[in-house]
Amino acid sequence: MADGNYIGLRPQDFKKRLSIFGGGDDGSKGPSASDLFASATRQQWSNYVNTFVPIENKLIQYATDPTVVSDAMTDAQTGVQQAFKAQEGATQRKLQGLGVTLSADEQAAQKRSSGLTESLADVQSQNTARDLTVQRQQSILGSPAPQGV
Amino acid sequence: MDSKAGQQSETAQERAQADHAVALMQDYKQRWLPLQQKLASTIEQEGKPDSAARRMATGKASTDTAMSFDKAETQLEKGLSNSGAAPGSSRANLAITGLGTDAAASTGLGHMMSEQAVDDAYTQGLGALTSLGRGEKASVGNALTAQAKQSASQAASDAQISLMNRQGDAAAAGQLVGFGIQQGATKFGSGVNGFNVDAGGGYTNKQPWNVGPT
Repeated sequence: MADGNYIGLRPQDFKKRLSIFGGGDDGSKGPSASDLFASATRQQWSNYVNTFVPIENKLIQYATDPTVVSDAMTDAQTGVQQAFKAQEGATQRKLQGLGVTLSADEQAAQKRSSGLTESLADVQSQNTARDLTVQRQQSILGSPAPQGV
Repeated sequence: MDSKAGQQSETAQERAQADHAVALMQDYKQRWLPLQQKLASTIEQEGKPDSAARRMATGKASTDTAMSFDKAETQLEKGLSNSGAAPGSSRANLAITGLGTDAAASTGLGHMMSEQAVDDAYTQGLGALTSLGRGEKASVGNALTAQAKQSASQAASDAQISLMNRQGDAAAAGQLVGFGIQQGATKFGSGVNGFNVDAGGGYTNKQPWNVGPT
């Protein structure tokens, strides 16, 4: 900017681009100022409709779609189940590495303990996922509505 | 402002203002609009199920948990040896498998929180873009930074709590070491995650959103 140039766009480019409206540096008679303003306003609205309205619609859909909450809860449940399944194998390998074999009683105790912990983690993760998702939806809905460009 | 045949012609100032408006529009369309469109596309991609951002976040959570529980496991093994619980004894087996179970719970919850953090970043990104449409600033990066900090601290906290519990299991026979851990665990009761150690060495999660059975 120090040399008066924009990044990738020079001031003279602006003037050249005015020619698309029918006017330019050569002093030729172009459209009136009000026509230029009208055209610029239409372009501005077009940019808004094509670029920002789809984004706003995505945000609105996220905030109002009830499946967003159920999907988050399902994802949370799947994550916990996968973690416990993976850990089961890791624990087996760990015990084998130590040369330890669990007795029948120990296996039963381990199964009970693991099942209980998994159930609790499952419930907690689903509750948390639901609450956070609903909170997020409400915060979006509570935000001031976009005022446009 | 002169007039001719009933029409008013524009002033030089009006013309200059119109030219300026057109120049601003062209500048915006050439430099900023493509950036905003690219940002929108990136945010949309990151918000999709199983996106790269989600895989990276859950992977980080898994790594954080694994690292924290690895340290806890080493400490547990030392604690077991000090308390006289030999490898292969029921007490040692229970402690080792219990630590693994806690690691799985921490991993599962870590994955869920990572997903939520990406959802936060996604909706904040969309919100920032709609704000850009109103000439306001974007603040997408904050949510991702917060996720990185949160994941590591939760894993470390869970591992520490699990270690406390499992060492408590190993010391159930009344070893002196076990007594010390129980004393320490009582002091640890108001941890950053809201976990509270109960009299039996177990812990209950008192987080406000946990409305299920505990």
